[in-house]
Amino acid sequence: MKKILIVEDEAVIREAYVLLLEAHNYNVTAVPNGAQALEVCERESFDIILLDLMMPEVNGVAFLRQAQLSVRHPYTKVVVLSNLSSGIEVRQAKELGASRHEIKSNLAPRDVIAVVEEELRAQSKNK
Amino acid sequence: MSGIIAVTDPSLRQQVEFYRLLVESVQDYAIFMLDAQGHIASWNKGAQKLKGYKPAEIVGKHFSAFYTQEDIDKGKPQYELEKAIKEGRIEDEYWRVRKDGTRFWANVVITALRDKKGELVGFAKVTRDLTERKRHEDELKEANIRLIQQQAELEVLNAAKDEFIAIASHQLRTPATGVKQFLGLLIEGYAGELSPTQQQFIQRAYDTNSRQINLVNNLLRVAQIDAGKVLLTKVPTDVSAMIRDIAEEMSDTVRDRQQTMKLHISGNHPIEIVADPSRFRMVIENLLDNASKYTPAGGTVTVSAETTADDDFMLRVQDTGVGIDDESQAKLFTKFSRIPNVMSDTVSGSGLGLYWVKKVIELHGGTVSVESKEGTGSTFTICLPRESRL
Repeated sequence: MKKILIVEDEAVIREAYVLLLEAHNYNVTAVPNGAQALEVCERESFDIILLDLMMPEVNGVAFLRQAQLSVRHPYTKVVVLSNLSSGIEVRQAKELGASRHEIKSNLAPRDVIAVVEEELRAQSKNK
Repeated sequence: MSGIIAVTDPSLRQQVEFYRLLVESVQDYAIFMLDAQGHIASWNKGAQKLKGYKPAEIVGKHFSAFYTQEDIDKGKPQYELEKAIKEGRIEDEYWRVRKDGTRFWANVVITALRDKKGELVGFAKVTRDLTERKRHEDELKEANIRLIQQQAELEVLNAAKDEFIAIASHQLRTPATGVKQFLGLLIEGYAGELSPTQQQFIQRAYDTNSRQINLVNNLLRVAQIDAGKVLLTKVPTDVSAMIRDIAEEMSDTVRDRQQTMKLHISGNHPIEIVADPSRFRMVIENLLDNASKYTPAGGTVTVSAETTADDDFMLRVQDTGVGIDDESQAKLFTKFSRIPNVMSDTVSGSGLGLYWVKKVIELHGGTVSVESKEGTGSTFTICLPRESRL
């Protein structure tokens, strides 16, 4: 079972993603900020991290900077799901290893699943 | 006045008379003479007009009477005479005082006069009233300062507006995303099967929510482009493939609306342009979506792409829709211009889409235009210069 970490501070969106991804038989862990995501990533590795950017305490960019995923979890794919259209945060996240950025308000549930599946396919090619 | 010589030669006397008449008659300049100590020795009409003294009132008085008290205290009259003696002349521009005590802004030239032996015999003083010019200059300076201040205030306000729109857009999109996800889960069957009526109601809520998100997206896009924050990432772009791809994506919508979409892409090779692919794609999507939205069932949307004889790139989106009246055409590409959709009795869209399209095309160095006739349809044409072609 593929493991997905959702890092999203907005409870209603977090719950929707959990419902959706569990319905597709993914092993889902969800946390509300980057600080908790760092703790989880100390213990476990994930196939995909769905990462919001604007979050309290440790934001998405700070999480990527501290988590050092490319060293510790090189096969983990990071998808930035943010409502920031562009700008410095999105650019920084990509520089820190995020493979893709999607504006989450544009994605229907089926689009979220499509993004996850595409990233998993890309990951299996790289492994 | 010492040093003045009596003129006995008749022709010379006539010449002197001419000069006297000339000087005395001039009204726009105060022209007068001072003796070597600075006492007024002659007085013309211009001086009387400018300073208010009649000759009898002023001749014999010291010329410091025309200076402000501050200048007298600083010794300016004496300083100017000394400088004129030393350098031949002195020019000054500053406040002077009239008989009635009022001030005027004067341009003053004092020239030292010497006899044949080089002895100082006095000074010629020419004064012009530049108060009006000074007032205009001061007004201009003040206006300039006000403009600079207003510019700075505007920049601060603009930055605050940009920040507000960015934050507001983010904050508005976040709850709307939550609504979209849960409605989407219902529509996609994650909570079990819905009755047709439930499905219909929820779909309407979902569509409304999507429209709200689109409005916020458009507002943010326009705010960014207005703030000059859009930097295009121009790369070689296969526009033929892009058009086919968008048409394919729209095929369900076009079929549902019982319309036909035709593509005319000239040449056997793909048309490549240098463009920002994501933004150029949104431009085409916008035009196609509008064309379909304003075309009734049975109508046709035709997309043509070609390179012209001048090697420019030209894209045409033509529909057989309701058309746009002349008045609406004139303001079509301006912000918040919304055209009533006669097909649905509604005004759809934010009125920002075509404004944004025009801005993006202009950033690409191109133009966008419309031809339309009510009841017949509309044609939108985008033209990009040959530099955008590969």
